[in-house]
Amino acid sequence: MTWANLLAAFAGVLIGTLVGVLPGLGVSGTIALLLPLSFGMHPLTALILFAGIYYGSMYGGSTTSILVNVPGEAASVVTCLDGYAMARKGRAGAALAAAAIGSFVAGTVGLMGLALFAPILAEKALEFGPPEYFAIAFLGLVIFANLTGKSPLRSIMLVLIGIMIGTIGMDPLAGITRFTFSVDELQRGIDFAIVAMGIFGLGEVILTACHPRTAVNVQKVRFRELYPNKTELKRSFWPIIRGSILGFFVGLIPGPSATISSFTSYAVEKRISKRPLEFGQGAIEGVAGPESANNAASSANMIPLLSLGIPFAPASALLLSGFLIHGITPGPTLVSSHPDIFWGLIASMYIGNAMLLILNLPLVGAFASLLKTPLHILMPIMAIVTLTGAYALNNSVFDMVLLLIFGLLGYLMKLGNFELAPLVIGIVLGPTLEKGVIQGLIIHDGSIWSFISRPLAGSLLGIAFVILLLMVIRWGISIWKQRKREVEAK
Amino acid sequence: MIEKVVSGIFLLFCLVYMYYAKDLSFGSIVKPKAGFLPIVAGTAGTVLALINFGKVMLKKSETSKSDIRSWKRVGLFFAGLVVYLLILEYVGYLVSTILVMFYLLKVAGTKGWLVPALMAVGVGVGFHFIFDYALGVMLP
Repeated sequence: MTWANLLAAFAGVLIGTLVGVLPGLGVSGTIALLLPLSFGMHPLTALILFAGIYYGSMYGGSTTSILVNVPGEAASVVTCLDGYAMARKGRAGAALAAAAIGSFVAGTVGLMGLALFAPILAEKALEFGPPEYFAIAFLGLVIFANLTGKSPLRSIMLVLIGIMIGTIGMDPLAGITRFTFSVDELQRGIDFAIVAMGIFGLGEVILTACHPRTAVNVQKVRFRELYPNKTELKRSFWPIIRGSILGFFVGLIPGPSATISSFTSYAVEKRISKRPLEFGQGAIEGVAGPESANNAASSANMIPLLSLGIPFAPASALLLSGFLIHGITPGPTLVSSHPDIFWGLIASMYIGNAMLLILNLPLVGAFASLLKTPLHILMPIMAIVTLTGAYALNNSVFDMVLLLIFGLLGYLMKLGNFELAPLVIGIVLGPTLEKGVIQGLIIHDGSIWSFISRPLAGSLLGIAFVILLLMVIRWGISIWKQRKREVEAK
Repeated sequence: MIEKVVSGIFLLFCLVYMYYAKDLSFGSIVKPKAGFLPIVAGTAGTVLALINFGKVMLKKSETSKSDIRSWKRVGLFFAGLVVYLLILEYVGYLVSTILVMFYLLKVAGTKGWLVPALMAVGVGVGFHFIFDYALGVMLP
């Protein structure tokens, strides 16, 4: 652990906390914006920086949820319910401390799980063939589409469009160019980092710069109020443990697992609490559990990325970009071929986790005051950073053109209430899906049965088709109910 | 309204995609070729985009006055970014960044002239130093 890496861990968790505090500027957009700035860094240093941003944002999101009733991250939405209520009762410090301590414990549990399961899964994954990779990618996309957004139909549509965008460029197997329209730059395909920078980064910049939000009222917290009393600590203990374990397992599911885990934890705590009526009025369990869950989930999210090389969330997809930019391919061989990178990253996450606990409590007032940052100055700067970063990737103005196109698309999608993540995940997982199905069919002489007869691939595909069937049935039932309501209204 | 526009964009993309995908060789199940996934994904995507577009067109939408003002700002902001691309390789990174940065600050609502001008120069010089000298990126 060198000084450069320690500094990167510190910078990462600081930036991550800032990103989590500032609503709108999501972790995916921030990593996308900072990708080009990591070019001159050692690969491990760059990855430590990005990982720090990734899990640091989970800490920051709770600060604004509690102090301002505005969630900095989607995973902190549920913290607003009881966190802000506690703040209004003068217990903001206790809520912040419960969130920070819970996040630390959960982060530690998540990292232990990551260190334990990732190498085991990576070893098993060496036996995987194209059918298994196809099945994992397919199931991942189906679950992701099912869990993201209000309309599964729209999510699937966006995933498919993402897959289509991912086919632009050279076919990975036959070497034939597709949809390039004789544009030389399109032969290498559309760089995922450009898409992410555009949709998450520039799109958000345009939205925030041109639709300024109203001033916020920040609850004040004094340093001496930061510590929960004995009763609050006692009440937080089991929710933190339960949230950590629940969040870890939910984090393995593709999709917005940090958000899902926080809502699930809240529901569980409310169900088993002896004081269910307190929930929504300032129950500390409603802060400790969800905040622990989302942190554990963010660590668990790294397992499929590091051991299989398959990201199941936009932020981990951007971490994948970070790996690839620095010439490292995450997957089954990462542990054996780059043990320094793998274990160095995990060690840095332990250290970063401790840094976050130390940073977040004393500096909570400073972080909250960031909400008063003049966005009309910050956003134009971010726009220039993004464009410069896009140019820096391949020294190409064409990439900047693509960035503008995806930036405009991201802006319109946000305004039109379209989810961004399915499109991005489709672009990332599309090539894995294509390689898996084509190689699998070629190897097994076109036998689809070979996909189903293999235990893992068959099981995963079976689950995927059941989920698809349930989605179709649910959609059919909702159409029927809507027609019935219309008829009754008439 | 925006929802209809975006749905229309996606539908148009799918239709254009399918138009060009049909020229790719599909192959067969035994020997899938370059057109296999594009045609399968394109067909499914086009069907869903059509259904989505139909659903969205049946919805009512309104545009408020504030939307129009914001659109003007968006148009000006985006125009600035386009101009940045156009002048970048002719004028060079430093000068184009300073000019466009000043313009964007004014569009975003920064008051006065001195502060935006100083910020534009600071950002231009700062980024030039960071990317060119610190990170070794070859800027125009």
